[in-house]
Amino acid sequence: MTLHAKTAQLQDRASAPLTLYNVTWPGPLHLVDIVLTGGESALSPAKGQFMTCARMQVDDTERGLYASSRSGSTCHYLAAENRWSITIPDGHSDDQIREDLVDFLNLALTESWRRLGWVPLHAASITSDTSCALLCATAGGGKSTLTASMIRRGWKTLGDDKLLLRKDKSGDVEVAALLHNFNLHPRTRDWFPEVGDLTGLPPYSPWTEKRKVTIESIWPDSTATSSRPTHLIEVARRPDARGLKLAPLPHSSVLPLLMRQTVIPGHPAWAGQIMATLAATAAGLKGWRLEIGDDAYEREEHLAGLEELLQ
Amino acid sequence: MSVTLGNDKKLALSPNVVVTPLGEGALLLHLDSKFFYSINQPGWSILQLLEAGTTPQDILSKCTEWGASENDQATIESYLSELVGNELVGDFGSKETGQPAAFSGNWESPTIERHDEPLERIVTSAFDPSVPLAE
Repeated sequence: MTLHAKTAQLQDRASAPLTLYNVTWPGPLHLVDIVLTGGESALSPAKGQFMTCARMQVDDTERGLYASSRSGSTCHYLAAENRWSITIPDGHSDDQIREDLVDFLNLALTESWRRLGWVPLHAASITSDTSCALLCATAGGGKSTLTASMIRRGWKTLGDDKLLLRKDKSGDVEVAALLHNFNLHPRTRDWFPEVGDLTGLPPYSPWTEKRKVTIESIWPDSTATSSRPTHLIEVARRPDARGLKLAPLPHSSVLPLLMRQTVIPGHPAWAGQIMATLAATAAGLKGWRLEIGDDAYEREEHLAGLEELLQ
Repeated sequence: MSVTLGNDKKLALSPNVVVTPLGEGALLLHLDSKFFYSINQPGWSILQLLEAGTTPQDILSKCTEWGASENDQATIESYLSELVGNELVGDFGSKETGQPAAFSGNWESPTIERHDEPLERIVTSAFDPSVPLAE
């Protein structure tokens, strides 16, 4: 990805979120050109027919994707030139600039991955020599802590939040890592002392207590870059329950659960490609629902059942 | 909205519906409403006729060819009414399709089941399909 910004401030703001993608991509590489400018944006707000996010609306236009933010910033993908042009109005606060850039860069990245045949998946993953589980949960649902607990038992991870899926030429499904960072709550230390005191680190967003840490800095040799998914686990925290409770997920629920882990744009061709990849993935997955009680990580044997099921 | 099998008005699949074969049936995702639907094998065969565009009359005769009896007419009518009522099918014009509709095995009633929870219409970000947190 090449970034050309009008000011050093914009260049820094745009570079920061991109450095989080710390997994070295094996290739093939696809050049994405991003141009950032300031000034007034003369374009009208997008309607959101392609995608509606919390702070951003996206339309599919004749020239390419066009996005506008709640704060008035705009982003235009010029498909013919494979260039993203982002305009941030002068006078925006640092927070507004950061939020807009994160949204637009996420859009540019996900669109580029889709063009290469990958489906962005909002999930965690743990893998061993023989199996690979995709862990799905809502925000704060326990994906990171469960992933960390399995790393401590010798498993590796592809990440706790952002993954890519694709069906290769032979029809096999591959899951790939993008970030080898964890978003951990400081109280994770209560269960896993090696995490150390995280309270000195800044929260990674204003909406959470979690801190961003590199996985290998806590658990060396615990990351993987790709795998073949074999299991799908719907993770739910159950403060009123004890230990871990496992129940099989009906096969008919596997594809709908995968669908809820990815953004499906309102564009029939892209949506069709995403659905085909998800259906191929779902066909080979065994689904389980896992309820995590508050004491789940206090005793190692609680995880043995899960490990046995995944082997 | 109900559909009668005697009708010769052409119906077709909405261009905003994505169909994904799943097992012997298929899953339909409506990109506007974000609702998704599971259909069984006969339902999928009928839907393949609708991908190219066809009339209820022609659907009935094809279903009869596939093994449907007179007693099945009400369920076929009800299935088509569900498709039209949920705006999955309507007056959308015909299009080229890859392969002709087919059905094999013993005929049973076509079914469509709408999943209770649609996908989120407003997502957190281009990478995160969950409901945005309150700011």
